[in-house]
Amino acid sequence: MTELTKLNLTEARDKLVAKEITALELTQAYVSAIEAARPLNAYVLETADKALEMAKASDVRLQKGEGGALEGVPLGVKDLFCTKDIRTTACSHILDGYVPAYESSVTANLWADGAVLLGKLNNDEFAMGSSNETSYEGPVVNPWRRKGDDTQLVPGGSSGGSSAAVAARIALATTATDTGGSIRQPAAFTGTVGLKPTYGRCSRWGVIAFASSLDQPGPITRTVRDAAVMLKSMAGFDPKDTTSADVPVPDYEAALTGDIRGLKVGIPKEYRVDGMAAEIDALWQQGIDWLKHAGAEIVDVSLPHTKYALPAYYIVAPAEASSNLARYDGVRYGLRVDGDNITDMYEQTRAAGFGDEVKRRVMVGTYVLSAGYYDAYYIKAQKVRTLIAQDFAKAYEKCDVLLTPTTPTPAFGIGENIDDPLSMYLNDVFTVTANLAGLPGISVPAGLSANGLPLGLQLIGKSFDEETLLRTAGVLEEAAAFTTAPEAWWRA
Amino acid sequence: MYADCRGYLHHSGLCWLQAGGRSDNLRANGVHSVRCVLVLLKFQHKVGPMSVDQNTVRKVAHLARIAVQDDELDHFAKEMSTILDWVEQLSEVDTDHVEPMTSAVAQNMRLRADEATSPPLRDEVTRNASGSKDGFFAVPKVVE
Repeated sequence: MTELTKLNLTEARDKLVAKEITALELTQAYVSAIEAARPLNAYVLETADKALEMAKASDVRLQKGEGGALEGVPLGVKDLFCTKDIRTTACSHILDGYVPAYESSVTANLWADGAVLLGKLNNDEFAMGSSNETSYEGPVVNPWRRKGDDTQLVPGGSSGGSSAAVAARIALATTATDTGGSIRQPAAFTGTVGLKPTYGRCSRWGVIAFASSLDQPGPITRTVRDAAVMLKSMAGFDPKDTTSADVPVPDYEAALTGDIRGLKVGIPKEYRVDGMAAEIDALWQQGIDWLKHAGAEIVDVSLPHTKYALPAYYIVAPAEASSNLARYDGVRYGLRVDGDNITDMYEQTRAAGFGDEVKRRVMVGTYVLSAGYYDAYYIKAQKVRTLIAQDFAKAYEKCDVLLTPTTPTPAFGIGENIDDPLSMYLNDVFTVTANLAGLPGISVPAGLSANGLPLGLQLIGKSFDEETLLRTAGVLEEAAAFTTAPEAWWRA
Repeated sequence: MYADCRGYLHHSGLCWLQAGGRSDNLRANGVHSVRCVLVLLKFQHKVGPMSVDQNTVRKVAHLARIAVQDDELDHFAKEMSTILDWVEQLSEVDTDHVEPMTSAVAQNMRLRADEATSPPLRDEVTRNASGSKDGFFAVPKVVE
């Protein structure tokens, strides 16, 4: 790790503007760090040449004092975002060799602000997973290890490449997507900040679709301030996404006042589950104390339908996935496996092109949408979703923001849960509610487990109130003073 | 370790674990609670008949256009049953007089004028096709 890659995004940005460093030297430092970190398998495609070219162009603009908000800042992009003329596969075999002819709106916004593309990051296939183990490109290794134990751990998922890259200092920040917890859970597993904005805040156009009513792009960063800066650039109304929200994008960095006096922080009792790891429970209490000490008022609230969120999600998400993934037919994109006739060609292509988890979800989704079951499963789940959203609305009559743990456990070992879908699904038990209700959520690194792994606390905010969310997250971050970084063992 | 996990799922997915005698040891490493869940769920789902049989898998796989070999049917039937039995707990929730959610954020669907908004993109659209000819997608013969 060089001195340059130790700078966080806002520090690097300020030094670039002050001409203390150049975009080219910063980008070169990252390109070298990425090469040295290949054992992590965080990047599925490195775009060093393009990065250096973009950095040189940034330096020209910075010299003239014409730089954008992210001028010269090197970023990694989750492979779910389409990047024009750069291979994008969602880490699925079925999209082999797919090269988009267009750029996703979110990444287009980043490049318009001067950011530099370092490469494409690994993720669970089509973002379906909580450990990055379903990727066709192989698992990502978490830069963190347990104390005195070199077992390889997962970086969380589905944005596992995005979280690992930020933790390993091989990107200043990364883009990610969150359908049930895929930004916040990997952030918690890697000691990074993960922000899932309100549904509609960031455009989904050009983001390979998983479950369209739940998917939302957002950043993974080293600090809360970095997250504020990234969101400002990523967000904004996009006529090309019919669910994009036509609302102004505030200056999120300005919201980080550090002042939460009088803020009402809700503690949902249903998240205090029997048998939760004692250290997670203790961290949660610590978070409550930190916010109280900073002048917030702690309010007990109830979200009675919380326990039904995960089962509702595992109807809605597979149903929408089965529809979205119908487009992979061996005709228009990527892989084709020949068959006896056209139907056989479709079936052979999809059998060869999809991994086990994707097949499982597409088939469950097909089942719950099939004739005779639609009302019993899909409509029922959407009704439960209404009740979950109503729970939040009631809670927000009493408070401004909610504080919970992000995950029930710290990172686990590669291979430990992969054979059991349901135990893997439980990773998202604290995060999935925000997706179902469309609310913004953020995970902030708040401490270490007894065996030395990062643990996260989650804040869930009101719709389109990312400012309060970020302000509160900033206070948590400062109180937690989480500055530990993983040792760069992969450089050995 | 596993023998100490006297847990149960509570039909909720939330109150999933009650630690047994060596709870401190168990709690010292949160990873193991996930492992315990794994054991518990497997235990729970041995109870009761499977909701999805092999014929249903074959039918659903065909609807989803995914070829499934005969020796995979049992595996898929078990996994789909596990998931569908688990989501069955939603039947406990009284949803009479509840409207299904249609949008995560209150908003109206925007309309736009029905007019072309981009130049012709035929070559871009077909450039990723597994087979294309003269600007068309090429597929196996569908008419004899």
